[in-house]
Amino acid sequence: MTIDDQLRDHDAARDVPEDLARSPRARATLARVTATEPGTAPTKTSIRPARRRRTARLAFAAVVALAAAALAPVLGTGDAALAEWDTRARPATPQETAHYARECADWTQVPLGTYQPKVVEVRGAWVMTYLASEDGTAQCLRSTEPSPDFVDGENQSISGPLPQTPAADGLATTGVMETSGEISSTQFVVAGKAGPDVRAVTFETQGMRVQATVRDGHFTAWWPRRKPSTLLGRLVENTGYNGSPNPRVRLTLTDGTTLTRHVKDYDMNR
Amino acid sequence: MYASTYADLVRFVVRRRYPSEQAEDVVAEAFAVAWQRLGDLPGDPGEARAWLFGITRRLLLAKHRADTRGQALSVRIAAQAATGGQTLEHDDLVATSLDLAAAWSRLPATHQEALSLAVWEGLSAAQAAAVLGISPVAFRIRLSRARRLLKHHLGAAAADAPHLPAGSEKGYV
Repeated sequence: MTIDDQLRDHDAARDVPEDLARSPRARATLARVTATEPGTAPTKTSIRPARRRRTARLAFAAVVALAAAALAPVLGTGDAALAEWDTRARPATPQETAHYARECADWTQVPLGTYQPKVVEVRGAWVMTYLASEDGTAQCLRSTEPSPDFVDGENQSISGPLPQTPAADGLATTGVMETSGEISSTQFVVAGKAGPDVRAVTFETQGMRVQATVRDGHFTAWWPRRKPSTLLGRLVENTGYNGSPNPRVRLTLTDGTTLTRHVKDYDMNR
Repeated sequence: MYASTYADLVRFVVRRRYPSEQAEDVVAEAFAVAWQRLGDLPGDPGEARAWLFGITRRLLLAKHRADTRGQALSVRIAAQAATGGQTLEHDDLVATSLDLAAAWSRLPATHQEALSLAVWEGLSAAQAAAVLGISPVAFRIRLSRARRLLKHHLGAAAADAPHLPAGSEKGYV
């Protein structure tokens, strides 16, 4: 037995499991690190950033996204994601809700209990989880299909402040977020509070009508980015602000009337 | 890359005297740094892994002291050998483990690091040299000295140890 063989038998780190990268903590780290564009944030990054700081980083990423949108006619295709996605969500079962709420709380490092699952919706192979507390929110979008790099399915998670209380016939949101980083396709995610008179919410974007899930005064929706055929198509489609897309949103109220505006009108950060 | 190197980086930090909980914090910080320097990521997976070790090592050094030039990180060794997940309890092997641990503790940190990079991190001389910021030739020399010194300390430890009966004579029936 050589000296190297003897040393190999005395590895102080032999108890670290091989599949540690699949742990919720490791996945949350990946989501947090890739929440920014690569090479754009300060080199010194705290390991467990405060919610306010993460929100600031998301806002920064959104500004970068706007610059990229102006420069590139094609930033990726959503064809594969579209095939696995439904314009209308189905609500999660109670078992799914409990499971994904726990998972999302782990990934975003918020206390489950203080944060309650407000909406958990399923579109094809993807699950959107929206947790909210008295002052904060956490959102997780995850695929239930394994991929080569993510054996438990791709996922992204974000957290931020709770939107203010909207008008009875309005919405309050922090805008449309764009996923980035390791996830294989780009998605747009929007969530927030819905006024008590709002019965249904529909987003009109990229030639699609996306039915949001509205539940107990909260709403959430998401959709994959479609590959625009031309630069002009992309510019027309993405008439956004502050880096966010600005789709039309139609509210159906409890008295049957409808209101159509743009998301920007309901964005508390606009 | 993240999935294939995460556990390796945690092990790298654990070997350098961090509990695994804190080790994952350090690794998270290392990946955040790497993400901000993504343009520097080598295309070769082995070199990319070494690049990540280098980032992690510099973070650990920075946590120890402000001036990290020319410094080395001490590396710990398991007190007992393990084979196939089971700790061996044969008296001969326990004695060997004690000798090895004693000899290891007498090595300078620079030599511990060289041995760790070669044996536990499994890096080539060029990759390990990149982690330490020295030339591959300098690393080979350092590694050779480290092996020689460890053997020397092991020999001294064995000479100092009380003479134990051979395993076959211990009376295990």
